[in-house]
Formats: sequence, C-alpha cells, structure tokens
Amino acid sequence: MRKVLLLGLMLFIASAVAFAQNRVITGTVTSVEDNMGVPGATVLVKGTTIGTATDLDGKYSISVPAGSNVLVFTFVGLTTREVTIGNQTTINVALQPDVQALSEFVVTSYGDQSKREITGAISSVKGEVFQDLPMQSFDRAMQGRIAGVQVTSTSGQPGGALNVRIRGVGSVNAGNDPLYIIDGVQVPAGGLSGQGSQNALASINPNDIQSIEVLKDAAAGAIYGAQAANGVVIITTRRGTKGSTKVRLSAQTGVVKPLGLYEVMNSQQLAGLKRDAFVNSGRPAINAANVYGNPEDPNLPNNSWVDATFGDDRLSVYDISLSGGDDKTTFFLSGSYTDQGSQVIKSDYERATTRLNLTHRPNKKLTVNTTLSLAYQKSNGAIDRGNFVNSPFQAGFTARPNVPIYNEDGTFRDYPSDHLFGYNIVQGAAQELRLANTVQTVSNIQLNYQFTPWLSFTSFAGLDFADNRDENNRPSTIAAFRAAGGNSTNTDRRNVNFNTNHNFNFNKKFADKHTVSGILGYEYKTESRELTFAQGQGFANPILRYLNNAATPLAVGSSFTQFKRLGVFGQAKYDYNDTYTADFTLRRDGHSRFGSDVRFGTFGAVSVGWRLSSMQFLQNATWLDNLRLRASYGVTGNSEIPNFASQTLVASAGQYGGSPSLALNQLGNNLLTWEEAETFNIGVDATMFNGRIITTVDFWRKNSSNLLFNTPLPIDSGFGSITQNTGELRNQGIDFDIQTVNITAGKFQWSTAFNVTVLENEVISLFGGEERIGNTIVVGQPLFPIYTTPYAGVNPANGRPMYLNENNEYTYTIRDADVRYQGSALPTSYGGLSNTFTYGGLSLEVFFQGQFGNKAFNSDLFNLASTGSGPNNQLVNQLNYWKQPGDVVSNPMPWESGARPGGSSYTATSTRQLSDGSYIRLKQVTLSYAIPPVVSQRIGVAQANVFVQGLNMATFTKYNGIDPEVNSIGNTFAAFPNSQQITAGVSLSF
Amino acid sequence: MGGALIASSCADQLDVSPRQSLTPATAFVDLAGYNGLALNMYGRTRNFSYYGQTMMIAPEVLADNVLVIANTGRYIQEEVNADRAGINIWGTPTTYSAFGAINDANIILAGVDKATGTDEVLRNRIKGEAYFMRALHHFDLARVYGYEPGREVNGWNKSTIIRTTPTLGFSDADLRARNTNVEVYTQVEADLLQAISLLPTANLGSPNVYRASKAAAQALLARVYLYWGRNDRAEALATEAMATAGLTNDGTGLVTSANYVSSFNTFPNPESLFEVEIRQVDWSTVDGVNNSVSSLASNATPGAQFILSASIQLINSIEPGDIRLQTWTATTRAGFNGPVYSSNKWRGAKGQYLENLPILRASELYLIRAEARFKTGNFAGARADVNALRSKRNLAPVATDLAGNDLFERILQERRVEFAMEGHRFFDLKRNGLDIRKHRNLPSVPYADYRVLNNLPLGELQLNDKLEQNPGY
Repeated sequence: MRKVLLLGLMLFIASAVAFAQNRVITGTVTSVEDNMGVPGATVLVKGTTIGTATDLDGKYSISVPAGSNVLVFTFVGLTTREVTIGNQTTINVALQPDVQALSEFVVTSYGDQSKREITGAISSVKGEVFQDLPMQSFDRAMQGRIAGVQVTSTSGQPGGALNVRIRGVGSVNAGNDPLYIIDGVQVPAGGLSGQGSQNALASINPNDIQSIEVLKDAAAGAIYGAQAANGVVIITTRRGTKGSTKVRLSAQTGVVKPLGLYEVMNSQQLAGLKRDAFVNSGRPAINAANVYGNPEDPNLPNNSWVDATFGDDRLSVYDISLSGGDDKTTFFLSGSYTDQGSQVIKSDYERATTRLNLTHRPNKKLTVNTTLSLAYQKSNGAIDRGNFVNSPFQAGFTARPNVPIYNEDGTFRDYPSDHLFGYNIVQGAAQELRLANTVQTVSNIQLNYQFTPWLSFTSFAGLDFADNRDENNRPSTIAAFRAAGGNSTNTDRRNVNFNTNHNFNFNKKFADKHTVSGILGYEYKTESRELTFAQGQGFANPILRYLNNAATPLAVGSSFTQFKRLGVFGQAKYDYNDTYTADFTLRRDGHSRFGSDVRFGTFGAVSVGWRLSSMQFLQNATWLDNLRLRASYGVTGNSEIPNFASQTLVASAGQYGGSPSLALNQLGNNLLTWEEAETFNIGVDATMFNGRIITTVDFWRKNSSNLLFNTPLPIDSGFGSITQNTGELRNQGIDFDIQTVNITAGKFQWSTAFNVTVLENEVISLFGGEERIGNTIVVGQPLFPIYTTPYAGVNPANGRPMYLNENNEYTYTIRDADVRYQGSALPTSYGGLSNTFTYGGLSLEVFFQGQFGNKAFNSDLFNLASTGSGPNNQLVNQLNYWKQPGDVVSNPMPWESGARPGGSSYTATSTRQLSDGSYIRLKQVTLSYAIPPVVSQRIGVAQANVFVQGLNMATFTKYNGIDPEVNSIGNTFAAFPNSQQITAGVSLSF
Repeated sequence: MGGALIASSCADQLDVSPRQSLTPATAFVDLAGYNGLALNMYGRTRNFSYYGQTMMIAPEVLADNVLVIANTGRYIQEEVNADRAGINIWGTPTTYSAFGAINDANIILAGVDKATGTDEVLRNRIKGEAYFMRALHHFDLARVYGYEPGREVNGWNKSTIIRTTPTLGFSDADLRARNTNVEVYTQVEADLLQAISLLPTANLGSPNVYRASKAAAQALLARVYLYWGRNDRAEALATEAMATAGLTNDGTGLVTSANYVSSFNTFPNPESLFEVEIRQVDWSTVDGVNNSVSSLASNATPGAQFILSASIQLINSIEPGDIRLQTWTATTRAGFNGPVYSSNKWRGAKGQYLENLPILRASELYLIRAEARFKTGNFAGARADVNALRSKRNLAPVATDLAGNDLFERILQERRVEFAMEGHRFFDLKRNGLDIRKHRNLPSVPYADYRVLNNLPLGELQLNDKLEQNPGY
C-alpha cells in the first residue's frame, strides 16, 4: 500500500555536489512489514546535507564523500536506522514500523499524507478489523468503531442501506450523508432499487478494503469543499505488492435468525378481547364471533402467521484474493460470493464481486494505477417500513390467528376481504415477485507523472456506473390481483456518476527543518440518473410475468435527472521540524443545482498542530511516545438537494380525457446557493508507554447556516414549501477514542478499543423569525423532536384511557394545546467497546455498540396495542385490560373502533407509543484459532484460521418494539429489524 | 495560492435542464399550456381524499345513510362522529389539499388573457373552467370548515381562506386569516357568474360534461344560493340551469325509472351536468381494490373490501316501488350478522372497480328548486318539482296538501334517497341547522356540537398565527 500512497507525493532531499573521491553505495530499503521496497525513503550521509531518496522500488544510489562512514535511513512511519558503511558497497536495509508514528497514511484522491502530519480530525478503521465479517457493506463495518460516526441500519434487509451521520445531523432538508470516496471515485450513498433496500455501497466487497478513513472536521474535509459538510469517508481497496503471488481464501456459512418478534395473541385470546370490544361498544357479540371466532370454542383453530412468515435462513460467504507483482507491475485480484437469506420468507440477497487493482510503472517517472470492480447484486426485497398490508412486518403480526393460511390441499387460502385488503401475507410474500438485479462498477484510472522528485502531476478519472432492473410481478393467484389477471412492472434504472481531477502536488524540505507541501487542482463531477418503467396486466397464466404476455399495457414512464459540479482547489502545508504544522486549504466550487448567479461558493480551512513531545521540556518523559495538540477552523459546503430545486417546474400531471395535463409542481428560487457548515475542532493525540495506550480526544462544534431549507408555505397558497437558504443549526460534542493493551503476559494478551461521542443538536434559527414549524422543527430544541400528549393510564372508575392536558389535568380528549415536547429521536451519545483476548493462536473479540438519550416512537403499536379496537391481532400484553370498576390496569376497556364517545380515539398519538430508544448491543463475538504453521504447512498452507462468529447476539434496551436500531427517524411502521447471524468459517493463505 | 483560485469562467458548463419538466416561461405562453393546466384541475378532483372517495362517502357515514360492516379502520371513526374524524381537504404539505386546484385556477386567470393563440372560444372556456373550479373548491372548503351564512353557532363565521391570485413565488404565499362565510360565498357567487358567462353548453349525458359547462355552473350556483339561504336566487338559477340543460318542469330530460339504475353504470351518466372521468391509467394497480368507492361500497367485483352498507334506516325510509331501492342489493357479508346492502351506483362498471365520478346530477336541480320554493312559501311549486322527480322514479305524486315541515321533510327525504352514496346527506342536514341524524341507535350529533365543523390541521395553525382553529379543538 505504501508505495501507491506515495505516488503523488515524493519526498526528496536535494543532492549535494559530488566530490571526486566519493565512493558509491547502492542498495534497497525495504520494510519488514511486507518485505517490499520503500520508495521515497531518505538516505542521508550522517553529519552532512548529502542525501538522496529511494526510487519506486526502494533502490538508491548515493555518493559518500571520504571521511563519512554512516548512512541514515529515514521514512515517515518507519523507525530511523543508522548503518555503518565500513567497506560495503551494497547496503540493504529493512526498516521496522515505528510504533509511535501512527504510521498509517491517509489517502485523498489528490495526494496522500502521513497521519502523523494531519491536523484535521480523522479516524480510521483498518480492513483487518472487519475482515471476514458477514457484513455486506463497509458502512456497516464502521458501526461503533469510530468516534463521531453514527451508523444505523434503516433496514435489516440483507444488503440494505444504512444511515451514516458524522458528527450529528447538520442539515434539515439537504442531505446528511457523508461524501463517500472509493479509490477516488465519489459515490453517492443510498439505494439503487425500488424493491426493498439495496445499498449503493454494497458493490464493494468489504474484504477488498485496506482501510476506511473518516474526515470529520473542515480542516480534513475542506479540500473536498463541496459536499464535505457532512464529513468524508474515504475507502481504499487493497493493492498488490512485489513478490511471489499470495493467495487468500475464506469461506463461512451459518444461520440468520430473527432478532426478536412481537408476541401476539392466539385465537382464544383475541376472540375474547374482541367480544368484549364489540359488546362494550353496543355491537352484537355474534358479529365478533363471526369474525374472530368464539373464545369458548375449544376447536377454534390457531394459525401462527408469525411462524409462517418468519424463521431462520442460511448465510454463506466465499472469498478469494490473489496479489503479487514484479518490479514494474503489481496486482490485486479478488472475487467473492455471498448468499444470504433473511428472517422473513423470500427476502434474500446474493452478491458476486470481482476486482482487479493494477499498478504499472513503465518508467521511473510515470505510474499508472487502475481499479476495476464489478459487482452483481440480486435481492428479493420485502416491503419495509410503512403501514402496508403486503409488508410481512405489518401483516405477519396483525393477521388474525383464527384465519387459516392454507386450504386443505395446501394452496394458499384467500384472506377475508375485511382485513388487510384481503391479502394473505404468507402467500403475498411467497408469490409476489419483488426482484432487484443490479450490476455496478466503481472503477478508475490514474496517471501520475513525477516531473522532479518534489513535483508531480496526477490525472484521475473515476466512474460509478450502476444498472438496475426491478421486476415486480403480482400474480393472479393472489385475490387482490385476480380481477386484473395479475400485473407486472419492470423498472430499469441507469446511474452514471463520473468524476475527474487533475492536480499538481509538491513537497519540498528546506534546510532540513522546513517542509512545504501542497496541492493545486481542478475537479469536475457529473451524475445522471435515468429511469424507464412499464406496467401491464392480464396474464393468461400466473406463471407468465413478462410484459409481452400482458393482455393490457397499463402505464409507461421515464425520467431523467442530472447534476454537474466543478471546482478548483489548493492546499498548502508547512511543517517545522515535525513539531509545528500549519495547513491552509481553499476551494471554490460551482454546482448546477443552484441559481445561475450564485452557483459558486468558496470554502476553506486553516489548521495548526504542535507536537509537544518534540519539545525539550518533554524529552525526559520517556513514557510519552507522542503528544500533539491540533486546532482547526473551516467552512465546507452542502448541496444535497434535488437536482432542480432552484427552478420553478411545470411537469406533466397525467391525463385527463386522453389529453396530457400540466401542473406547476415546484416553486423555484433563483437565489438558492450553498449551505455552509463552519467547524471548529480542538484535538489531542497521545501515544504512551511504547504504544500501549493510544488516545485521541476531539472537541468540536459545527454551525450549519444558510441551510437549504424547505421553508413551509401556508398550504392555502397551493404549495407546501419552497427551498430557501435560511436557518441555522448547531451540533457540538466530544469524540473520545482510546486503544489500550491492558495485559501482556506470555502468550496472553488483552487489548481494548473504546470510543464514545457525546453530542448535542440544537436548532438556532429558522426563517423570518419563526420559532417553529408545526411540531416538526422548533428553535431551541434538537431536530426530530417528538411532541405528543402524556398517556396517563386508565381511569379505574370507567376504564377510559386518560391523558394529561396542558395544565397537567386528566382528560379523555386531546386538544391541540395538549401536545408537549417529550424528547428527540436523536441520541445524545453513542459509541463502541471492543475487547480482544488472545492466547497463542486463539483469539476472542467481544464488541459492544450502543446509543443513548433518544426517544423512539413505535407506530407498530397503533396496530398491535390498541386493546382490540381495530381489526388487527394484538400484543399479548393487551390482555391486561379494564373489566370492572376498580381495576387498576394499563389498558382501557376494549371498545370496537376505539371511538368511545366523549374521548379521543384509542389509537390517538400519545406517550403510549413512545419509549426510550437507548440500547447497548452485543454486536459481534468472534472466536478464532490460528492453526500452528507447523501443522498447516504440512498441507501447503502458510496460514490457516478457523473461526466462529455471531452478529447482534444480545440487545439491552427499554424500547417497546423489536429493534431499536432500525427505529430511528421517519415512518416507524413495520421496519425490517436486523437479524442475528451466526457463522463458522475458515481462512487460508498460501 | 489564493490567486490561483479564481473561479473558472465555465459557469455555463453547469447548465443542466430538467428534461421532463418545463419552466413556466415555456409552459404558459399559449392556450395549449393553459389548457393543460385546466385539465389538471379536473385531474385533481379524482384524488381519493376528495371526490375520488372521501367527498362521496364521508358525508354519508357522518350522517345516517351508511353502516360500517367491517372494521378495517376506515370510516369506523366517522360513523360515530368521533373527535377529529371528518373530511380533511384543507390539507397539509404531505396530504391532498383543495387549494392546489385553486392555485391552478388563479394561474390561468392571471395569464390566459395574454396567452398566444387565436381560438377565443377555447380561451373563454379555459377561463370559465378556472372560475368554476375555483368556486367549487372554495365552496367545498367553506361547507367543511365553516357554518353557512345565517346558521352560525355563537356567531362563529370563519370560513376558508380566499385565494384569487396565483402563487408563483415565495412572496405570493403570504399568511392570511380565514375569511368570513359571507365573504367566501360572495366570492364563489362572483366566480360562478363569470363562469356562466364564459362556459359553453354541454348536452346532458354527452362527453362534454367531463368538463365544466354553463349548466354545471348554473347548477352549482343554485346549490350555493340554497346553502346561503338566498332561496329566490336558488330558484332562479335552478330554473336557468334546467333551461340550459334542456330539462322541463315535468321532469322530461331526466332518465326514466327503467333506466335509472343502469344510468350509474353508463358513462357519462345520462343525468350528469358535470362528471369527472377516470381511466385505468390514473390509478395504481391496487388503487381499485384499496381505494375505490366501488371496492368499499359494493361487492360487485370479487375481492372488493365491501365495508360499507346502506343503513337499515335508509333502506326502510325508501317507499315501496321507488326505483331507487334498486340502487341497493340486499346481500350478506362474511363476518356480519344480518342483511347488508351493496351499492349499485358504484359497481365499478368500467372494470376493475373503475367508474366516473358524477359531481352534479340534473335531478338535484328539481330538489334545489323545490326546497327554495318551499322556503319562499311556494308550497305548490315545491310539490310540483318533487313530483316531477318522483315521476321519473316510479313514484306517485305527493299528497296535494303536503305542506309545512312535512313538505320540508319530504324534500329532505327525496334528497336522502336520490343522492345516497353521492356525498350530500351530512351537508343537507348541516346547512339547514339540523342535528346530524344517525343510524344504528347512535346518538344524533347536536347542530351546536363542535364536531359539526372539521378541525384545521395543527401544523397550519402553528405556521400561521392569523389562522384560527374552529371552536372545541
């Protein structure tokens, strides 16, 4: 990796004039880590200013004047070595890694820098941390591993999308996703398919990843200017190194299990409850028995829709990689195959990936890099999130247990039409086709030309191309689609996302102490998305599903959207003797989304660092390997709004009478421009006791202003909102990260990694002096406030549900004024704790992840916890209902419809549906054993590991639903919970 | 370094046009563009939160015509007039709002005179349609959210907000207070008078009734005057509408009783003065079963939800021999004990639950005029109009001495039966200041009860300090 990293940024020490009696020493500088040559290492004749740098292969040649007898080999991240020449003419040196150096490099697509120099707030995860974990996408691997980064699943769909928030939610209506840069290609997050959740980042096999870096503050991200307001995530895939070809194989297989299920009533329980509800509300008991059965009937059938809908499934992951190379060319070639079922019928995921990363050096000045990846993803997506009768997470729990799922001949039975629109959920999930096929490549080519050792030029072009086809078929075997003879919809999407940059990099050291480096560049990016769909109905046979079999073409549609962005940027860096560092970045970006006169925005940052451990007064503190203070300030931009948000749009609005109609569907704003995030960061990095304690603390504040804000308009104007630059948000917090080696005793080692982020989100201002937008955004409170009325339990006298009104008095009827602030859906802290125990070849990692301080509103309870007022099956806990005066119980007297006169509906929104969303989750347990090489080598394997691991093994929470992680924000009906995964596998290296 | 960062002069590289959308500057230059906007006003009325479902069903369920026979969660609250269960056409940014069509109309009225094009007939038609639709939507908002003039409870006269200028930018969307009911009715009257002068005529039962016509505007104005209590004008406009539509005083022009039931499965309905057309492409593949009136109120299509039946009280109120009894079919429903009635007005006769939405039918003119004549003391005239309608419904004339409140109740009963499942019943009781009558032994809702007026959305009230909530919420 190091070689590649250095391509853009070569270190060079000016050669001195040669003397006549010089002798020439040649050799190679290698790293003991990988036995590969170290390019750009400094070779200095001790006591002189004579020096040279190693070439791309780590080779050097230096003229040593008479009288000098010692060479000093230095390289950032490796320990410095001095070698006495004696009478040698060839000196090969292997350098050790430098523990105190935090030696990793951080790649930007514009150039690389040693982490030691970085003055911005950056965190990283190495690929080894998540290697062989059965996670489909790398964003999942970041969860709980990085301070300041909150990762939440929005769906438990295998291969599904995630929500990643770096240092809080900085924008109200513009996007909050970080900028993802995969090997230099800027890839948008989100979903690719309309069929369930398919993650645009899942085309990258996590095992191909060398490292993930997260740039958290403006100083780190400002070089990306536009779009960096939400932070930047940089993914670097593995590259080959010179030497014999290495092969790595891994395979694992296991089970996927539901994390939990709602406990719903059986037929007798529900029938009893419903009879009471009918009778109490003045309806004949016979009608309850007609629908729900007679609770006294001992033969009342019990059909567990839950068991028929949910269950265990298989999971297999296979992975292979080859890497190696020679003097001119190195390669990394990989392939993987994942086949993962889920906890719900016919919701599965398959992925095949392949990758070829090549580096070629035709000569000493030119380097060509390319990254080629291709991924095929196929998923059958369950309907997820939303109160839909064809969602297994809704109907699987609400379907009535007295209704048979199957006919006696084993075919699916039509569900009664008075509930769930007559949709048999088990049949629907099994027979409706919701297939998504996606082919995606994230590839690039990069040319680097080294004019002089201190100046290089890089041209980069990257492509993220995705082609998706969604096939939806609703066969006529399902009652709801019988009248139409079934229907099919095919949707094709094509996303082309291209970016290119061209930049100069320079780096020069003067007088042995002053290092100046910088970047000057230009970047262009465009992204276009096209969609075509066609729909037809009327199939002669339910097996037929292609549109040419449809009797009636029904609808067609297509759409196109695009944006373009360009920018120029520069960065200058000054380092004095590895002690004082300063960094200035400036960038100017224009974006097609904004008003024609205000498209360009200027962003920049300044940061400084001071390495206290290099100061004289700390030289005696030998326990202190490294201590550094950092401070930064900068401004970055956000443009994540719909592509044409600044324009007033007139679009077609369907037909009337066979003629096309037009609608003004968006109000434009030609003054729309960049949203800005201003970030302050003060950080401390420390390494102590020879690397046994490594810690970083960052104190940060991010003020987002000029928000791209959907300013609400009174609906009587005909429009709900217009996008304007207005309003301010503030996020502030502390990121703390510590890694310790607690015990080392013989073969035993215990190490810990812990990180936590404490943060606060506050709306500072809105627009035009407004203090609130309904109950959705309120000045002085965090985003995602939850306003509802306190549920005050059941009146023991009459069994009515009671609420607290604005004066804290009991009331049956909720008025407008009775809703009050209950908290926010945003957590106030989150973090992760990993403990690793090793004994010889045996290793156990136990990893917890959690979030705290958020409220979780669970809409599922409208259906499942209405004490029998609706048609849905109920949670077993609803049986504890009021039956007679004096009963002190948590659930009211059952009342069919829930509309008991003189009070609010039983399903009125209140704290009855609210709970604490905090949780701690035992996210991962991995037990692995490295077979002793003496054993494995007998079968020709250099290294062999066997492992068992489990994901989502336990959750500690007061949340009133299934999975507090997926209940985050937005519609909380019927979310697809995460699953538990337990696998066993083996990895082999040759 | 900063010097190198001069913005590149390639800003035009950043021009991207939204290929599937137009700007107003290109869309609204000629009559064709405004015609497209006019069609959108009709398209909006198909929304399931407006005439597509709610405006047809809720006024029946909120009163005494419809029994909910299965609890799917729909209309179960409306049936018992529960707190906040009603008709929500004011809307929020994420739901249907009647104000969308009002803005379409305002864009047309502000610009159509300057549009290029020489077809003055089309120009007048588009203008007339805009006035008509603006009036219809303001009127519907007024009757859902406010009391009719002269029927105020405790003097509460707040109605809808009147919008007569287009919203084309931020500054147009000013925060306004609710207008009074008289202001709204005055505006609706003015708009309909304009519409009457501009709109073309359309023959009853011809496809021209799929767009607004002169007779439709006259009929709507007659209805508005009746709600307003201006009974002499109501009578006059009903008479004018009948003349325009070719209806005579004896009922000629209405369908005969033999064709009455099938008229609802004929498109357009031969009695339609104004009917909104729906085609299969306007619906998603599940809208039929999930959202259509037919799926809710009829079991004609297998797989229908069939959750709404005529109340036994409605059925029992229908006179023997009345052809309108045949708009209901006695049937059974699994899970519900006892007879239920499936609507034959909403059989989904265009296939897969699909059918058009009759919004103004000719028979209403006779009943408007009868009520207006009754209220102006012309009992004989009122009886004549009732009898003209009854003659087409296989019923004998009413007693020649029917007068006073009995006559009024007879007119109300004719409306109840004639327009069952067409969204009139609740409003007919309310506009007369009557308690809302209920079926199934449910207590009637006193006219002064807060639930007679719908609540305004809380979000709008919090956004707009000038907006006042109706009392009791």
